Amino acid sequence: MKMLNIFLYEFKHFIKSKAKLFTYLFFVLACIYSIYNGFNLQNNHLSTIENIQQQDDENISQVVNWFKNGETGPKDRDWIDVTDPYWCMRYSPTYVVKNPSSLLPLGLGQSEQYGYYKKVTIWSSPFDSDIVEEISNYERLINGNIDFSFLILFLLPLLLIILTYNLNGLEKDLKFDNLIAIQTGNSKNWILYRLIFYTTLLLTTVNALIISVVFINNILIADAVDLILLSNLYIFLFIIPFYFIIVFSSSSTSIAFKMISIWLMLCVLIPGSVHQYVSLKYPPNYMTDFLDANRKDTYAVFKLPKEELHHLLMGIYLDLDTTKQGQDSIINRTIVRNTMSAIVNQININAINKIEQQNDSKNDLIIGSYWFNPVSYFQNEWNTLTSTDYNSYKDYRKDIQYAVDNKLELLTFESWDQRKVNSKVYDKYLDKLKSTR
Amino acid sequence: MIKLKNIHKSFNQNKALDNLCLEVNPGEIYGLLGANGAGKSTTMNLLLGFLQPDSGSIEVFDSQNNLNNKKDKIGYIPENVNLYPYLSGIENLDYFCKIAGLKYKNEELKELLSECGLESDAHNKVTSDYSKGMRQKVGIAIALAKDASIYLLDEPASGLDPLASNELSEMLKKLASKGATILMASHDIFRVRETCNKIGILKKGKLVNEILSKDVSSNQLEEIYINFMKN
Amino acid sequence: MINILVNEWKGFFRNKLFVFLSLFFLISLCVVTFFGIIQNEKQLEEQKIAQEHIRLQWDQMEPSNPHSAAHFGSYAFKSTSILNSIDEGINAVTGNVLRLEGHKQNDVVFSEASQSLLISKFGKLKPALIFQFIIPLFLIFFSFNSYTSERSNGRLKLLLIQGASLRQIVFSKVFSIWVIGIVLLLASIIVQFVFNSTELSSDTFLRLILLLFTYAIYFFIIVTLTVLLSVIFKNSTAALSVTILIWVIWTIFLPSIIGKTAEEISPLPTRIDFKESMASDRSKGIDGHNPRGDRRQALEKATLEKYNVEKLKDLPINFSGILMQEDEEYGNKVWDKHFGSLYDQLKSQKNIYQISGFVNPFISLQNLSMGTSGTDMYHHLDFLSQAEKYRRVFIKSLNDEYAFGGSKTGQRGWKASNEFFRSVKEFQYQNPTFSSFYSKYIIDFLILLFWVSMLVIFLSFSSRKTLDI
Repeated sequence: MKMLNIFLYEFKHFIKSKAKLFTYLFFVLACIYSIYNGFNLQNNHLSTIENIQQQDDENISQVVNWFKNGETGPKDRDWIDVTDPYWCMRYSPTYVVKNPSSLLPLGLGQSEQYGYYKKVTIWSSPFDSDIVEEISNYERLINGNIDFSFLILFLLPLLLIILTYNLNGLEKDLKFDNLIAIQTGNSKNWILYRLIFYTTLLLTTVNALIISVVFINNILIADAVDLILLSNLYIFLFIIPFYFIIVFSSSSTSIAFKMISIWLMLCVLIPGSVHQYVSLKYPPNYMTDFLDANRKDTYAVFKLPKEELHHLLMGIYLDLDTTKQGQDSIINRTIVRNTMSAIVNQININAINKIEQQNDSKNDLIIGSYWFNPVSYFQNEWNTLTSTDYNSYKDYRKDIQYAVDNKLELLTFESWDQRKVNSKVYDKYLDKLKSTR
Repeated sequence: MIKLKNIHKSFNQNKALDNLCLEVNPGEIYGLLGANGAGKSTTMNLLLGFLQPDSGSIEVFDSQNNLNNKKDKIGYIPENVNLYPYLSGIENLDYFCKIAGLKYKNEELKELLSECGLESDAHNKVTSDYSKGMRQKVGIAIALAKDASIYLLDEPASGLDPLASNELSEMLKKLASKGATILMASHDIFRVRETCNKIGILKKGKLVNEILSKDVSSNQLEEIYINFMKN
Repeated sequence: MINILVNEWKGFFRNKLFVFLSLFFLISLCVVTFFGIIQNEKQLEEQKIAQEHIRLQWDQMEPSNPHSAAHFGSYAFKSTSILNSIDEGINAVTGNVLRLEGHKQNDVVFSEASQSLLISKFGKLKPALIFQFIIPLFLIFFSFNSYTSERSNGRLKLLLIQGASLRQIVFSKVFSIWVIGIVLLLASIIVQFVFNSTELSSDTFLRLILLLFTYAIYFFIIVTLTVLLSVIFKNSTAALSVTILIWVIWTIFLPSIIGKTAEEISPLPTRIDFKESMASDRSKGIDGHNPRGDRRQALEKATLEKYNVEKLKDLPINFSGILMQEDEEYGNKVWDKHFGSLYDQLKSQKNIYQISGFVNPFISLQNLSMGTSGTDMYHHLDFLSQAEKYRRVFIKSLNDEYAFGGSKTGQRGWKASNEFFRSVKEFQYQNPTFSSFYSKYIIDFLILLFWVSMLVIFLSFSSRKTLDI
């Protein structure tokens, strides 16, 4: 009963403090604004993806029309022949897109560091320069987006400081803490109950905002449960030390100073130090392995004689010996050269694996810091849940690689089988190209 | 009743209380006089349970050295009754009652405030507009609301105007007449003489003299006090 | 005033927490600056290795067709300035590698931020992070009650009776705390001087001095504002709450909000739209690989007329090289048009952002800190523009060799010698001097000075008006 009374009366304390009320409302409005921004970004992604898919469809129907009209390609380029699998593939650009997660409005994560659509040709790789992030202002990027996760992870603790720094601090400043102690019998409980009010307020606010996105985006609540739990756990990450600070400090200034120090340590200093250390240990990668694969090694492949190319391709696709070219004793230079991108692809894959491994070791170092760097943990977990973390984009890169592999395999086997493409065969190609990992 | 027996309390090397013995019975108002640093606040804090003695025993009611479960029967009025400045007098009283687990109706709270001399038109004003005397009255109302049988007052008349100071004396006498045990620490010789039945003079942590106020006039008390302080 | 100042410092140095924190920050700053320098040197070393690696491949090129060499291309690796060790600016989010090749202009790729999980939202622990986020808070905590405590304990009256004016007292408070910030700044700058002494040019020296001034002005703003609020508010807690709230709004909230607003006022195209409109303009030019285009026919005619021959094979030069260069020139115009307008958009966003310094001096500080450190957008655009300029010269030299190096039209198998390839200069990024950019930052300096003047005026006025002591 006593606890309930203290808890309920805290509402009165809260609304009587204009600064606290204003800050809280300001925070809620900022959250709504951030979610609105998130929805905007999600819609932009979706509409861009829709346009891309439309463009893809138009390209396909153009090829279908050529087949229908007995044409082999654009009228002004008569050397193009889409009945040849090589040209057919060139005119079947496949886009691999990363669809935004339905939880994207709740956290943009690293999405601004990566692209989300990629035109896959037989020369593509997941590290091509056309998969670079959207055009944006770099100076804005370093200041971050006012997205929901930023507000929760970085501003919510500051809101909590403003709401709680004078709990027991005001009483100590005005020297009636003794009176409180004699009234309550146990002022630690009194502080706890007051703190529970603000915890409840913040938990309710955060959960209500997350659930509102769940309803707007028609997501199953179960899909957002992890995010709700994570955000709630994060609030406790600050509430617990704040409780002890309040109990053991002598004034509201001292409380504020200690709370801000905790915030600075957890949100700025520790992540900043880890970042600096990681950068010292793993300086930015200039990707020379990939550049070599992409340029020097690729050019070396171009210079190889057809016999060598033939041999290398047979080594990549063991079943090629069942194809017409595979069984033919005379090597067709055009066919072999048209499919040599499969060799370049293998070189790229090896280089990419090296890069991914280097990045993975860097990530292992970051993950290893989580026990003393909890904010980075929460940040990356949050991004995982909204599919905007490094690993989500790594998965996307795998999707791209799969599409490249798929396309190259189809091209190689069909070219080596000297297939004549018609609309039926083309339909089959499309089915195969659309398959996903 | 309050009984302090052979209390010793030191902070670092400094003796704050040195073999203090003191007894206050129900219906009695005991005035503790002393200079700054004489040990008055330490005595109060020991009785409130905020400090523990190095040695000696404290009896409040009938139990020894365990004040925690008795705090609900102790009323405490500090030198400055500071309240939540953004709440009204009645809201402050309501809050302090609620955190003590007491439930009063609004009318009862108003009665309590009026009983303590706070004009009814001030009940709903925020306490940031209150004078020190008005806040003191809310403080007494808080203690009264607990239906306390022991009242501890730390310099309660400091900074009060004569009228407010007199009203405080009357209020304390009324409480004592109902059987309350009251211990009041103060510098104010005149007010202590007017209010208390028994007066103790504390010097460097020692109780150097105990006088019944009916036995001395204010001037005599002042003379005794100064003599003790000088020697 | 000196006496009040000295007295203030005595007070500070007798405060154990203050001494502890000051020493802590002093040591931290020296360590952080030192590690910043090490990290920067390591990054520069990596960049140098990558550049040399790529160049070696170029130098070892076997005799090849110059046009194939144009497709083989080269790479520009973004180098960092020495003062990147103080403020990294946008370097972590920009790409570091730019492929330079014929026919197309690529995007700069492989940003550091894309190579790992997210670590710090506010960047690496470099001196700028401490100067921008932590020292201001430290200064706030030591100045928020400088006036209110004097007033509440009655010392203010004593000082006034002794003949000091309220203004003197208040400004002494400001200066006494401000000097602490300056000492911390100097510590970091000295470490920078000591450990980078061999790399220090007059430009870097100028940049460091301006950096010092910028932070000094900002610290003055922070301290003056805090003392002003301490004068305005009756109690320390209220003064502290409001100052902290302002700090949060300035440092955490407004930079993002204003950045986003600037992007909405002056929107950037999506990459796909940008590429498409560039491709559409590009398709109107000569396609070096398409023999049937009208423009190609016209160029062919003009070249034949110039050399007074009737057939391409009769030309004393290789027409393909001329064709490729013409294609290149057209592509350059398209690049200039599209990237020109993109850069204009970015600059207009930057202008909006700079103007917002009037409501948030932190923005002016951030701009100047990145600007003087050579890590802001202007410096990045300079890198891109130098790389593009190099690409044009690089490709032109290859096309010229193709056209005029001794081959004739149709000699596809003709190869330029290794000596020729070795003679092509490699890309050397010249870090721009601050003087070439200074005009872009005048507004930020002026805004900071505006804040200083306004706060000094308000503080003088408030300290005259506040008689309820």
